[in-house]
Amino acid sequence: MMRHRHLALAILCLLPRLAVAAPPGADPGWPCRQPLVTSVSAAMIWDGPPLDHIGDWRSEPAVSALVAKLASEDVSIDAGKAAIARFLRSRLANRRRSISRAFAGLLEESNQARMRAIDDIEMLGQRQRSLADVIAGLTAEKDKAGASAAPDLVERWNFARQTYYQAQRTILYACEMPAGLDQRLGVFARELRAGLP
Amino acid sequence: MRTRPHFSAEDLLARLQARCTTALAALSLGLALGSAAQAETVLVSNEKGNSITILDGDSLKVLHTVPVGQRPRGIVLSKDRKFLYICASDDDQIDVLDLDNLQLNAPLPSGHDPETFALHPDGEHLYVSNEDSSLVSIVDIATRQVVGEIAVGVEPEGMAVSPDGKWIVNTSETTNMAHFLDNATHTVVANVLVDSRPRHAEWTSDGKEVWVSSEIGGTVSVIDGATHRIIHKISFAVPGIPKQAIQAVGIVLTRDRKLAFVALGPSNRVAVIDARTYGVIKYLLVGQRVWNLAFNSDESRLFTTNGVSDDISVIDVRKLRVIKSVTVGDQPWGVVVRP
Repeated sequence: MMRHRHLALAILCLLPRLAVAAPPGADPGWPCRQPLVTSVSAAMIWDGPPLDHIGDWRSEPAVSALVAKLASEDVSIDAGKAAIARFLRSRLANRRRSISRAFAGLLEESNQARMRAIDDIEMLGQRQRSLADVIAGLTAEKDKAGASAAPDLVERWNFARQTYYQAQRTILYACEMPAGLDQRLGVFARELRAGLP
Repeated sequence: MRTRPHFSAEDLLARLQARCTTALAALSLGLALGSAAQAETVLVSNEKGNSITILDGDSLKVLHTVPVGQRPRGIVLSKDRKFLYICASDDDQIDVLDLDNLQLNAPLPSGHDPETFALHPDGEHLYVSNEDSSLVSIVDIATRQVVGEIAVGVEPEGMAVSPDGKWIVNTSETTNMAHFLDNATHTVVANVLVDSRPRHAEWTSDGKEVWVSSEIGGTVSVIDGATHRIIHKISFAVPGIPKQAIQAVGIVLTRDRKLAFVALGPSNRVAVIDARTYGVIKYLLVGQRVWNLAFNSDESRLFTTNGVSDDISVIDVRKLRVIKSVTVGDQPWGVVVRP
C-alpha cells in the first residue's frame, strides 16, 4: 500500500498545479467512489470497555511500544497479531485498562494515518481536475486548428491524455487506502478484544 | 392343498406392531437422509476473491470455495435452486454455477458491467442493472438472449421484481431515483426521487411497499407500491458513530412484514426495524462494512456480508443477537441461502 501511495504522489508531482473550482456534490474534492468517512470512532469497531477514564495510553511503556509497532506500515498484519499476542501474554498490572489503552492508541494512530491518506487522495483529485481542464483547453485548440494542428500541439494533447488515464488508475488504488487501514485496525482491535478478561 | 397358518389375535397385534416399528424406523432413516441431503447452504460472492464461498448453514463451516468470473457481486438462485446466477461484473456476463457438481455452465449474456439483478417469479427472466450504460437488460434464461433493454437513470444499481411479477423497481445511483417499470410494456411509469446514491430496493412480501436504501443519504425511503409516493423515510443515528459512516445498503424484510433489517455499511451496524411503525428497535454490531443480507429459509438466522473484515456475521433473528462471524473470501459482497 505504501508503494502505491508513493507512486501516486510521484505522479502527482508531474501534474501541473492549477487552481480549480471544487465539483458540485456532498464531498467537494473527493474523487473516490467510496463515500468519504473522515475518521473511525471507537463505537464503530469496539465493544469492549469504555475508553473515557483509562488515562493517556502513552503513559504505559508496554502499550506505547505496542501501538508504535502496530502503527508502522512496515509491520505486516501477521507480525502485528504476533506482537499483540506477546503483549497479551505479558504481565499487565491492570489487564483491562492496558488492553483498552492499546486500542485507544491504535485507533488514534490509525485515524492519523487515515487523515494523511485522505489529504493525499484529495490532492490527487484536485490535480486530476486541473489536468482535465488542461486537456479540455488543448482539445479546443486542436479542434480549432483541424487538420493543420501543429505536431507539437497533438503531442502535448496525447501526453496529457495518457497522463490523465495513468493518474486515474493511481486514484483507484489510492481510494482503497482508507479501507486498507480499516481492515488492519479491525484485525488488531479484534485480537485485543479477545484478550480482555 | 395349502392351509392358511393360524394366528391368534395376540399374534396379529404383535406382528402389526413389529411392522409399524420397522416402518417408522425406515421413515426416520429416510427423513434423516433427506434432511442431510437438503441441509441449507450459505453462498457468498467474493468481489475481490473472484470466488463463491459455500458454507454449511447449520455448522457454519466453509465447505467449498469455487473460482468464478471476475468481480462477482450480485448473486441469485434459480427458481428450482439448482443453479446460482452470478453477476461477473468485469467479465460482462452472468456466470451460471451448477450447485450439484459445482461446475460453471455456459454463461448468460448480461449487457455491460452487470452489478445486481433480480429473478422474475416465473423463474425465466433476469432483470440486470448495467451500471455503465444506464440500462436494465432483460435476459431470457432458456434462450440465453437479452430480450429487452430499458433506459433508466445514470448508474443503475438496485433491482427488485414485485411478488406478482408485474412491476420492476430499479434504483439509479447518480440520478438518485427509484424507477418503477411496467413489466408488460417495458416502460418507466414513475420516477421517485430519493436520497443520495440509492443502492438497494426490496418489495414487501405483499407487494404493497418498496423499501429503497440510500448509501450517502444514510436513509431508507418506504414507497407505496401502487401510488409510487414516499410514505415514510427512515433515518438512523448510532451513538458515537459519525453520520457519514452510517450508509444504508442492503435490506431484507421478514415474510410476515414484522421486521426489517438494514445494513449500514462502514458503521458496522445492522439496524433492526419494526416494519409496521418504521421505528428502529436496535443496532447490531457486525463485521466491517456490512453490505448485503439474507435470511435462511425459516428466517431464524440472518447472514451479513462484511466487505472489509472479509467475513460474514450470523444473527439470531429471534434473539436479535450476533452469534458468530465466519471468515470467507476477499471482499464478500452478495449472499443467498439455498434451502
